[in-house]
Amino acid sequence: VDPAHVNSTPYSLYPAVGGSTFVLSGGVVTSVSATTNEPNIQTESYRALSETLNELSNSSEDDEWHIDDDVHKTSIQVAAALLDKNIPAPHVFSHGPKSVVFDWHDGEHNLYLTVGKCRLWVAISSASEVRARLELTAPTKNVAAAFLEGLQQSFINRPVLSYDPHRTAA
Amino acid sequence: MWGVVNSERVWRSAVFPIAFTKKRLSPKALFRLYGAEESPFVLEMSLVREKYAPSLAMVHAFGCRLATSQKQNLIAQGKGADRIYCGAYQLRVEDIRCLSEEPQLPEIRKAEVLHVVEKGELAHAHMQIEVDTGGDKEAIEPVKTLIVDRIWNKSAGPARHICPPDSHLKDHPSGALDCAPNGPCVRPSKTSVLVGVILCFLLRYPVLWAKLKAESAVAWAKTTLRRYRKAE
Repeated sequence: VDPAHVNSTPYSLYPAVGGSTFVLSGGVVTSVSATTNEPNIQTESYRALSETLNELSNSSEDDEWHIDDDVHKTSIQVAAALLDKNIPAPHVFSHGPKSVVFDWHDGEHNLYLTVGKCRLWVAISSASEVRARLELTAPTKNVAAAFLEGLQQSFINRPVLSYDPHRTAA
Repeated sequence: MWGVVNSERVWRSAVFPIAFTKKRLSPKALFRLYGAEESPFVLEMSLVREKYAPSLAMVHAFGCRLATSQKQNLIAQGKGADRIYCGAYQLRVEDIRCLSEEPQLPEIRKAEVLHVVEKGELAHAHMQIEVDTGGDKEAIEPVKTLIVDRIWNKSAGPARHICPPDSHLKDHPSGALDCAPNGPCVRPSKTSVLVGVILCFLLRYPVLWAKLKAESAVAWAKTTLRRYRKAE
């Protein structure tokens, strides 16, 4: 994940997958599909997600809800990658300027994607326990792309839990 | 700082920027962890100690004062008063302390709830968590995520509330607060509230007041002694 590339407009994150081109307008992600004229049902929820990320970023630096510019850029890029994979839009929260967290919930389990300046971490939990956690961008092995593929399959087959980060990392 | 026993309950006030309440903000956003002044590896979160705010009215009064104080700070900085209190979630102290035994969170060295009077709020408490990520400051972030996850899964409520100054709002965001996974909050009986209030006003508050006065007197004496020595 390279935050330096986020500002290019239009920005093609994974041009080989799905044939989509992402346009970042004022930090808002919109998807322009090159292969179909059907409206993308995810676009509106991703627009709301990017608006929330923008508000977190635009708040003043001494505001407790503020996120750093680099973290904002990376989070927008990750959101673009999730939209590209047609993964349902997550909810978002932050705990300070150094990260934001994408949060999916399937009624029983939570999936978290913690986005730092240039690092990503994933975790799966249930009400009773933390089931798995992994850094996707570990120095020895970057599995971010594999994670996105796995997550896409998870949401097609069975939400959240069919992705096993440890299996992917192995 | 005074110890808090495991059987006690604490509350987390839900204060949001108004602009965020209708967007894709996760309910976990209100469980915000801050790096302590002394070290980024010590994480803190403000809470309300139920023992010192034994009725829901007192918990909500705390939240309304908190939102008002945050609004005043924003106005003083020349910004809009974009904060609103929506209610509070309840937690057991024992569940917070058990974080240090979570097998998937070996980074947590210690999880504690401390009664720390802050800005004149006698019921104010701190959740304080010490983490060890081998000096990697960025690696604190996923640990924070899982701490928030554990706390959210152990929380109950919400107890929703509209502060009097916000009563004119048509779509007050308190209605949008998500239900916590641990069910409705435990409301103390009227008798225990009455006993708690009486004890607070007759015993605990005077003792706390005396302790605060004693601490400030000691600080004053130390400063005076230092000045006296310098003058000598």
